[in-house]
Amino acid sequence: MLKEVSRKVIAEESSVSGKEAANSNAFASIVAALMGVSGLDKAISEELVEDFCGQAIKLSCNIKKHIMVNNLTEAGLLLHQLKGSAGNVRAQGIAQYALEAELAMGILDHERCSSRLKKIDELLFDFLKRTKEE
Amino acid sequence: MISNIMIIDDSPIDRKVIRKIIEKRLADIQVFEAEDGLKLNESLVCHGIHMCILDILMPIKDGFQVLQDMKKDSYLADIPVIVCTGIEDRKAIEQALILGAYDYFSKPLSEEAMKISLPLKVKNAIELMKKSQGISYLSYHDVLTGLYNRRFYEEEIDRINVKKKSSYFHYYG
Repeated sequence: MLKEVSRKVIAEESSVSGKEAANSNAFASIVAALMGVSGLDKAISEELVEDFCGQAIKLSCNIKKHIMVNNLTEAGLLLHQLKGSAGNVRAQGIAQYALEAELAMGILDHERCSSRLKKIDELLFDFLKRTKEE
Repeated sequence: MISNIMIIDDSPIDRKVIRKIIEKRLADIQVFEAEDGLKLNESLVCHGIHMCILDILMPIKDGFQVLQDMKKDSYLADIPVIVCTGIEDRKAIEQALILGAYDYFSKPLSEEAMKISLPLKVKNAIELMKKSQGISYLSYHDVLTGLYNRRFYEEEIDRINVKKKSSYFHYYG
């Protein structure tokens, strides 16, 4: 199911080509970082990062849904989960933006929170393009 | 002999990362997963769990409640629990240790935790539980016949009485 969603996102994004090489490098560098810190082999590290991308898309959608109905407690829990998972798979950019969004939500700075969520989506789309190339 | 461990975490990715790390470093391990603490006690008993890894911050039922429930249950109280939470959350770690957690680690997992300390903490917790089970066996069984002994029946009757909130059964020798 998540892989189908991922593929749809990739298909939608395919028209906006141009940075594929950089995207591939971004994904590869996360996988390399995860392999380095965990000692896991490449196949497992790639699987974990791909799974993370799928889960992160789902989390990002749900966070936005909860923010729209002003359910900040649930949105905060999901942001926390996104931050933790991103940190564990060494997707440092997403982890940093999730942390900033969490802090912004804490002080009810909705504009900053939304901008950080948008940045997270952009990074996720970049990572997912890598699957399209393969 | 296979050792059974349970990972309780609402994040499927975190569960998978922890599972892969443990499976890579420890042999003869069977990993079970739960996404929340609901109906956990039955699951721990029926899978013969030797140790748990428990996330603190979870929706519905948090790690503190899960830990408290386990410590109240005489069948589960001895299972070592390693808690995990955000690196900045020192108070949560302190609270979990007060409630009887065996050990802790912080998220995101550091290189040292992934490669060394987490697998070793899990291994030590499993060994502790197996030793505890060995002592428990000797306490509740007759050495010669292998049957349950008098102490077992006395305590079991007490447990039934507490569970039924009554004192239907009395055991006097």
